[in-house]
Amino acid sequence: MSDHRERDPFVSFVNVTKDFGANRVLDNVSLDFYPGSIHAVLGANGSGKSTLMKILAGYHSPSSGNVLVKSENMAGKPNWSVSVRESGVRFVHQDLGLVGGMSVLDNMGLTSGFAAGLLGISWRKQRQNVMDDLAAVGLSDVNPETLVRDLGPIQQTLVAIARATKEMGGAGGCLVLDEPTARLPNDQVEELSVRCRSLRDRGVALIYISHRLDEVFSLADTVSVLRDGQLVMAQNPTSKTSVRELTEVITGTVSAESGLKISPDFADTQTTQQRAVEPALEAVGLSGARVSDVNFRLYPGEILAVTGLAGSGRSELGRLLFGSQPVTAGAVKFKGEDVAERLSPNESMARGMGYIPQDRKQALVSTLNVTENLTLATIKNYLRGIGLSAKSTRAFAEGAIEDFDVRPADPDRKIGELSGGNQQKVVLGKWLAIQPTVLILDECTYGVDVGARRGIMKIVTDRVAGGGIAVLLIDSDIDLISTYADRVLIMQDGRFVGEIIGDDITPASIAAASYAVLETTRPKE
Amino acid sequence: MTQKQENSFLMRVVGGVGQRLSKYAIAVALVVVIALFSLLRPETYFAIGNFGSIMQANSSIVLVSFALLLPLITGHFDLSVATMAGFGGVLAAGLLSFGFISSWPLAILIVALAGAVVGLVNGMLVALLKLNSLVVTLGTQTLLFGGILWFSRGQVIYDGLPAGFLALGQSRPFGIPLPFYYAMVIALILWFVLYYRPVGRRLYAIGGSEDAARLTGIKVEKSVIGAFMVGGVLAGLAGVVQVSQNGSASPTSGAEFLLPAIAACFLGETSIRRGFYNVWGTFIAVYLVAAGTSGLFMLGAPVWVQPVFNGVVLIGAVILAKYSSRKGDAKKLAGFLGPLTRKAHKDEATVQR
Repeated sequence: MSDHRERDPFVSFVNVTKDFGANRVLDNVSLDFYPGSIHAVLGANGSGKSTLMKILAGYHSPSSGNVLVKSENMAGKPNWSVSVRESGVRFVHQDLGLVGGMSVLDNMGLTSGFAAGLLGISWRKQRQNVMDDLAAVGLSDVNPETLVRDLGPIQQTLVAIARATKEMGGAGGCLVLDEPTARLPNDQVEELSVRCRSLRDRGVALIYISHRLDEVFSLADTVSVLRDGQLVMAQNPTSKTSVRELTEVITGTVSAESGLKISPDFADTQTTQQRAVEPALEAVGLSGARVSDVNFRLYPGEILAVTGLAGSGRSELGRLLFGSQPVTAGAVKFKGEDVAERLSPNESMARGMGYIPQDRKQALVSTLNVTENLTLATIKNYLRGIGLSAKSTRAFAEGAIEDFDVRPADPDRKIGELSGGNQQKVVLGKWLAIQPTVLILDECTYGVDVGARRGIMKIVTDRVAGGGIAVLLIDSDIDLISTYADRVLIMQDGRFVGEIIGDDITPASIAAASYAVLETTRPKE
Repeated sequence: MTQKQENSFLMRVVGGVGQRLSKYAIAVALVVVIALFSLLRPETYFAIGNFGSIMQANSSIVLVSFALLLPLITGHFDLSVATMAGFGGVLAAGLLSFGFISSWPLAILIVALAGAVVGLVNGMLVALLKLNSLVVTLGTQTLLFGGILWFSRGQVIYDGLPAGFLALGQSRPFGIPLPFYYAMVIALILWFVLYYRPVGRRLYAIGGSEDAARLTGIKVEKSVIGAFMVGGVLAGLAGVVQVSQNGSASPTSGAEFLLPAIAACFLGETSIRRGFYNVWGTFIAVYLVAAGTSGLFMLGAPVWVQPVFNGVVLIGAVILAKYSSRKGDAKKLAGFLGPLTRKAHKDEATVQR
């Protein structure tokens, strides 16, 4: 892989810095991407890798620094995004950007145009062109008339790649793949790798954005790592690094090799966590969505963290337990009673379960004000006679605003006008009002500033200590987990693969377990 | 000259609603419109008889507007409400006139039931099958019109309507038409339910974010179906009121309620409870539009002015509803329209003239 060093880079970031307000998301990043190479860019959530790619695409402009494509400075061009495209840079995003209800033929034509005939489109020619393009990525068995939504995940991904790389002939080009495997089943990842290697061998510069270390080792030639906007590993050949080193670099932790062993056969119910009290919530062989055959017990008075990389199924687990996504198999026991047959948000709430989804738009009603949001789950309690008492909802809201330090302290403010952290305090207040037994928090401090984060977690820990509620903390923030969790379950590909308890819970051990590569030979400690 | 002036004045008043002049701008606008036309046509416009007929003629529209309001709060359209009113009127009149039944209260009960069934069908198609409410209710609207033609045999029904039934729409206790009392009573009930009962809070929450409402334990489907059903009942009763005050049921009546009802709901959203479809805003908006239309009529405006007026009000109401309550959107609109505004004003004035 050293031959490309003599060539010019296809894309170069030169001292790129990007600030959003006072927040520096990229700090003096310089990176080169060469033709004929697969270069993986790694980083945790918020590390700046998406911003870097958005700058390349022309969606953001850098606060300082330059981006060169084929040695030409993009900042000097009249239209950045058009110039980047014309220079041969293509993006395949995680959602692929295909129109499910249209045929492969039309999807290809949407971006790259249609073959002209004498009058209008020559469908015969177009069909032949598309079949050639598909064959180039190994999709010779797909009928171009098939609707995209009827294709399997790997086929859809390859259609998107075929569309993006269509004009990349001998001239080469640059293909950015953003988390291309997040939507693929494991057994189809290899197929994608084969296609990526074949593109590389045609001289394409591939930029591969991912979370999954196993793919990086099987696929990438070069790896770079961003952490908190800084380049912490620059253009390192993959052969010269290890899972352990990458984990340390990505998370900024020094891994003290914990004795943790991860295993696909792990089951929480078989661990030492057998207690005399009845669990508040228990899952037995729970499956549905991305989650398969999950077992765990959540006890009153504990904060049990569930973590794992994006796409591991942690969010889906929360939705399954709360009843907002259908359970396909297994049991959910609430205080010992199997409720899997009757799981719905309405019934879960009635049982005493609160759930804060990852997407804040699903957690609050942005058109309603703070008081209305705070009392939405318990609105019946404010009936005085036959009518709701505005005085008592207001009294509750004012109390909650003071207890949780919501700012601005205005019960009539539309909740959409509050900052993320304050919105989250209101959402939390709404759920605590139902006196929950179990609280499921999915990324509850994402995008929240440090002060508000501490405030939110103080509210939670107070209720755990004082009220004995059980908290399922679904999160990817290893600092948050290591600070607050009593127990950590690690999720990979929809299953629990390990558990960390007590003093073993450190940022390093969580990071190591999350990024640990299953089913491959890890270096022996 | 005078007409151009007052039209631009009216537009300034309506425009003022959007400029967050006050929560009660729509009520102010109503007073201003009435005062204006009263000054211009003191002998005809500012007469008890005229106000009486405006109140009477528009009470059914108020009820149809409320029928539309309920699904609209949950984020769904019900285009079938106006035709449901027509169907309700024809059903009541036909049942009595064709001798199916002789008791008019029973006829009203049957109409209410029919409205509930139509609402149930609409609601189930929209909430359970997740179909687009515009298309579904356009379909039921057409079905209902077919039902009207079948049941009325395409004829105007006017024979054999009992006196008690006709009195429902034609008596005037204390000089005010009885239908106006119905509109008031229904408005009071809806206002109480929407603001002082948990179900009201839930409907508004669903309209704000269906996902968030569902994840807060609200039974979204049940609530949406309920909104359509109550809406269907109100629409049917609006038709009964209409028939009883006219003394006859025409197979084509009802449909003309749709446009004013939509305009009223959207215009109402800009006032009283800003940013939300609300009872009193809608109520006043019906009369604001009616007062304007009646005034234009009395000024002897040519026949094409009224539909143009209605169209401008409807589109204007939607624009106001979208941009008045949201600062960001208003700014965006202003930025977008900035260079065009002067021209647009001129154009609209021309249209009005």
